[in-house]
Amino acid sequence: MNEQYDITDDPHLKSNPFKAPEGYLESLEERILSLAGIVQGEAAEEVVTPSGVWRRFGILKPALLLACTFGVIFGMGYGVLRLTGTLNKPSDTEDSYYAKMIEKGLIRSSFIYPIEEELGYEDFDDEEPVFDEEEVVTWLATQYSSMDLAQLYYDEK
Amino acid sequence: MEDSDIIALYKSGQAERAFTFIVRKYSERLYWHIRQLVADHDDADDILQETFIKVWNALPAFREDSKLYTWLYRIATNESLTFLKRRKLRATFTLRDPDMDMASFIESDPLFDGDELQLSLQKAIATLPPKQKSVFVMRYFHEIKYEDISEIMGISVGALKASYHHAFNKVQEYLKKEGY
Repeated sequence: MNEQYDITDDPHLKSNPFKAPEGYLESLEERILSLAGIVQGEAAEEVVTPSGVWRRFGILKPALLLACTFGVIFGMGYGVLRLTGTLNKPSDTEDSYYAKMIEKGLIRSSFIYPIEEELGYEDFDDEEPVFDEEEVVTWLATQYSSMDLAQLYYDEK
Repeated sequence: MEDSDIIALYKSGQAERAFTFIVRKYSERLYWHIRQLVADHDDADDILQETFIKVWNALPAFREDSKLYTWLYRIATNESLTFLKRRKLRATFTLRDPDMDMASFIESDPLFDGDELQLSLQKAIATLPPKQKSVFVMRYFHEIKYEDISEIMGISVGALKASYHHAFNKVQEYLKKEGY
C-alpha cells in the first residue's frame, strides 16, 4: 500500500532552506538603526537622557541647524559690510545721481509741476487782489477822521 | 530583554534605546518571516527596511492592546502582502504567471540551500494565495499560535484554522503530484 507523504511528520522540512548573503545578518541591526537616524553606540548606552525635551530637540534639530546656517551666513555678510565701511558710505549709483540733481533743482522730482504749468495755476498766485472803491472809502471813514486823512495825503506827497 | 521591558523603556522616554532593542531582538526573525513569504533576498531586505521605518514612525501610536511581537509581525506581514499584490499585478500586465515566476526563481536562487523535497515544498507554497501563504508560513515554519496569528492577520481563529487546512491540503496535493 502506497502511504502518502505527510509534511508534518518531517522536522527536516520545517528547517529554513534559505540563506542570507555573507555578513548581511551581522550588519542588519546597524543598517536598520542608521535608517531610523539612530547611532547604535549612543542608543545602546546606559545613560538616561531627558526624554521629552531631548526627543523634541531631535525633531527640531534639522530646522535649528538650517536656521543657524542662515544666521552664520547673514552674520558673516554683515561683518564684511561693517569692516569695509560699505554700510555708511553713500553709494554712487544712478539713483543717488538723480537725488543730487533734484536737490540742486536741476530736475524736478514731482510729476505735479508739469501739470500745474499746463493748467496755468501759477497765474492764480500772481493775481492782484481786487477791492471795491466804496468799501475802501467806508472803511477809511470809520477808522480815521477827515483831518487825519488829509494829513496822511499830504505826508505821502 | 522582555517585550514588556522594551515597552517600559519606551514609556520612560528612551525611544531610541527601546527601538534599538526591538531591532536587536526582532530584525532577524522578521527578515526570515518576510523572506519565506517573498523568497527573494533583495525584496525581503527592502520590505524589512520599510517595516522598521513604519515601526519607528508608528511607535508613539503603539497601544498595548496587542503584544509587541504580534504588532511587529502584523506590520511585516502587511508590507509583504502589499508587495506580493504589486508583484502579481506587474506579472499580470506582462502576461506572466507569478507563481511560476516565483518557483523558477527559487530553483535558480543561489541563496536557496534546500534539498529536492524542500524545493518542492517551496514551489508548493509559491502557488498559495498571499494570505493563505502567510498563515501557512507562520503556522508551519514559525509555529505561531492561532491566537497570535489571529492578532497579526486580523482574522478569527476559526477562519484561520480553515485557511491553514486549505493551504496544508494544497501543499500535500502538490507534493503528491511531484511524486512524494
